[in-house]
Amino acid sequence: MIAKRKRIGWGRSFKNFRGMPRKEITDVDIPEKVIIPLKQGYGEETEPIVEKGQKVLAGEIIARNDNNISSPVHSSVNGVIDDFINLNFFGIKTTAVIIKSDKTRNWISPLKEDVKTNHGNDVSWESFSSEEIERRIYLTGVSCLGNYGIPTHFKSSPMSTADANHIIINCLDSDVYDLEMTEILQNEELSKFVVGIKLLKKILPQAVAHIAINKKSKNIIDKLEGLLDHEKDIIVHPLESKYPINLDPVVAGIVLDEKISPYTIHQNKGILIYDVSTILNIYEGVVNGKPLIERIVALAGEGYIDSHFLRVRIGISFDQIINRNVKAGYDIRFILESPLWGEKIEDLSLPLDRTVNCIVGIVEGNKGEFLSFARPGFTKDSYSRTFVANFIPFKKHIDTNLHGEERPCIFCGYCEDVCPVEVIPHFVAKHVERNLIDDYLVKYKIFDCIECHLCTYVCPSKIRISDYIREGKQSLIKMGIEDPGSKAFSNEMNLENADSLNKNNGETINE
Amino acid sequence: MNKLRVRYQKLYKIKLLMHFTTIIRTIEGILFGISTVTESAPHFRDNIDIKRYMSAAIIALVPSTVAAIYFFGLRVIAMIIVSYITGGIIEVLFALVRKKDIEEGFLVTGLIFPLVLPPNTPLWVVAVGIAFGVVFGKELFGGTGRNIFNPALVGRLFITISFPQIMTSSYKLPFVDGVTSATPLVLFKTSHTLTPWFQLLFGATAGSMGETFRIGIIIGGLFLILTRTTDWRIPIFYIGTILGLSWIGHIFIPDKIASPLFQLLTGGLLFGAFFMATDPVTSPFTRSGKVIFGLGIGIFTLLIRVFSGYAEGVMFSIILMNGFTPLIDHIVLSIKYRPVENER
Repeated sequence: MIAKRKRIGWGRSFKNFRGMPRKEITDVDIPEKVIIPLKQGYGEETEPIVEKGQKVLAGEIIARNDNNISSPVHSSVNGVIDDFINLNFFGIKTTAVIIKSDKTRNWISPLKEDVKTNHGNDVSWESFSSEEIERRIYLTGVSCLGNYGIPTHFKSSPMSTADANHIIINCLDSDVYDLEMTEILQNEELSKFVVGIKLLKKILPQAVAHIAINKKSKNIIDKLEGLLDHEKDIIVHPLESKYPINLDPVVAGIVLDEKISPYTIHQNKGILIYDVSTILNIYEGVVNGKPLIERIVALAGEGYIDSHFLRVRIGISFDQIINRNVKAGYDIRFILESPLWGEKIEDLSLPLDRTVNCIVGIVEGNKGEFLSFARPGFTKDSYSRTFVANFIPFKKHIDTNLHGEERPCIFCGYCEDVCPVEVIPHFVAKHVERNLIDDYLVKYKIFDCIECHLCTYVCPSKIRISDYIREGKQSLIKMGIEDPGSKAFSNEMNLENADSLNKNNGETINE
Repeated sequence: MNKLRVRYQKLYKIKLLMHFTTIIRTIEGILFGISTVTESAPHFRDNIDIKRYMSAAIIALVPSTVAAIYFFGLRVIAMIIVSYITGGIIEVLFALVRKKDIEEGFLVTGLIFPLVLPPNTPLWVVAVGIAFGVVFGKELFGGTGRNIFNPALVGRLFITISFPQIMTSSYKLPFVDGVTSATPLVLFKTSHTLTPWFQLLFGATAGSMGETFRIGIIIGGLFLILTRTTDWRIPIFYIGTILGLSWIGHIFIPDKIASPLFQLLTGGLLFGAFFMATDPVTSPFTRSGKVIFGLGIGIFTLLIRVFSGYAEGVMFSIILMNGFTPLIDHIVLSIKYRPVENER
């Protein structure tokens, strides 16, 4: 089924940049050692079930905890457990296992009795019961993906399988270095993708599946329609691909056509959001019994000699992924996932975990440019249409330069134009800047902000609007003033759940 | 280029120039761009900055300026230079005292101000006007972004009221020296003479320097809207209100209210609509506020044109609505964000 088209009046489409990854996957050598964090993706930390010096095989479960919400963690290489260390993984403290590998490529399936299916590949997924699918999703570790995990009868997600109302599959390519779906979902992948969705539907039969996709990928939309012909509960939503539509609360709000608070999105409405790679991983995990020990990662941006996709084992350090591919003679900033909202990778010795899709490398623009404001701007991206690149589609260049001095706000209104929610960013930011923080700001919907950072991006005065808004939210929470939406919700819940929820809210904000 | 920059940066160390670091820094910013990088997400920023934003406004003013020089002679250049120098000095002085960067907003004010003056305005009046406008219209409020009234209009209003004799007798026809001439609006008000629309459109009439070449103003205005430098709402609703009201009015009292086309092509309406009313700082920032603002100036302009002693009302009505801007925003915000009962 295809949903009605919706008009989107906000956002910004980022198109045509240099350093887009080529669709070509190369295998990266198995590293000498891997560092595997015991908390990856959604869920809490798992307990190691291996000891120092023990031999492990790639695909073997090395940590699991059936008592808390988590999914098993596997060894990604064949080798020996070397050590346990404490790791600060992008602000999350977790234990990690170091494994010395023997550099062999083969792996085993954690679904021990089904090892045969590995090689045979002839087991029909349609004969699987939903328990079996859930078991496979859990044991292969796939259940930790998505922002709320995948519900199974194991403790892989706080949501039970009966509570899920909507599954949203985010195929939108609105981020700077996103490839179009027509390139990612070619023949074989597309059928795997469809099977993945059907598997999800089988374990969550009451939920409606929504596929949010760029309306320009007509090719894929037509094919999907053909493949999903008789499925009423799978709706394809062709949408305008404007950033930040790919962020969870926005895509949920658009697809379900209602206002979604970023704080209560999963708990309140039973919404689960997954990306394309998750669906493909579900296919691999269930049909082929393949554990989540590999990931296809894009190197994107001008910082690389050759931007393309890599197949890497989980636990490999960022260093090893990007080495030999970094442009020499430049300062390069590496960023996780997206230059718009991603986090800077300060420590390149950190390992890659199960959730990474893209490592962005952009050039640090610390040089300055002669008469930069007066240049025609053949390669300069701008929301305003004052550069040549707005009219002639040259490939655009990105660096980290601010491109201007910070100035007082002149009320140009760009931030309001691009804001996907009902916030007037400069207005709220100004209050926070002057330290006028009280529940007055809640009235102006400060808690609706989804931190897409687009307001900061477009600001000609170079004001860090989104940082101010985030600061305001944090101070409000410290003062005990909460989002009215989440409050109303926690009143509905029983007391014990309410506590854990508040904790969750706090975490979301600190991230 | 980096070497040049390093060499330039040695200026900061010269003791004599200690108090002028603001100026040095401003020039460095203009020449060499800036070398600051982003700290956190978003890791890259839009290429637009205030310099380019203001440059777009200057570019949009080029047709009017060139036409003014063509019609009224090199004197126009002298007036622009006087305006820039007087205002610039004041701007720099305030920046030095405040120890802040020199802001770019003045580039536009300094050009708009002479363009809204009659061609024969004495140079000292230009200097007095821009000085008053910059000091009392902008700097005393705290500088760019904090002013309530459009500084160029404050200056224009001040000299209109202070030197009425000079101002009314400074209009002249293009290419004709030494003869004072009335503007088309005054002609209509006093003797019901209608200037042909062709003359009005291409600027062969008396009027303020920048406002007569109206086809150029329209091109410049469309440029501003196309480049997203200004929002379309204010000019469109302003002009629309004038057209609508004068169309109705012209049916009932054709003696006093001229036809819509004449209203559109006379006086400072187009110049005011595209370049002065749209000043983002002094107009409402809410979208519906912009609509109300446009409607408001439209109504006031026509009322002043028709019923007051003045022939032209653009300046007064914009200044008047500038004063209402905070109120409009406040009302729009309180309606937009009114508490909703039973939201969930």
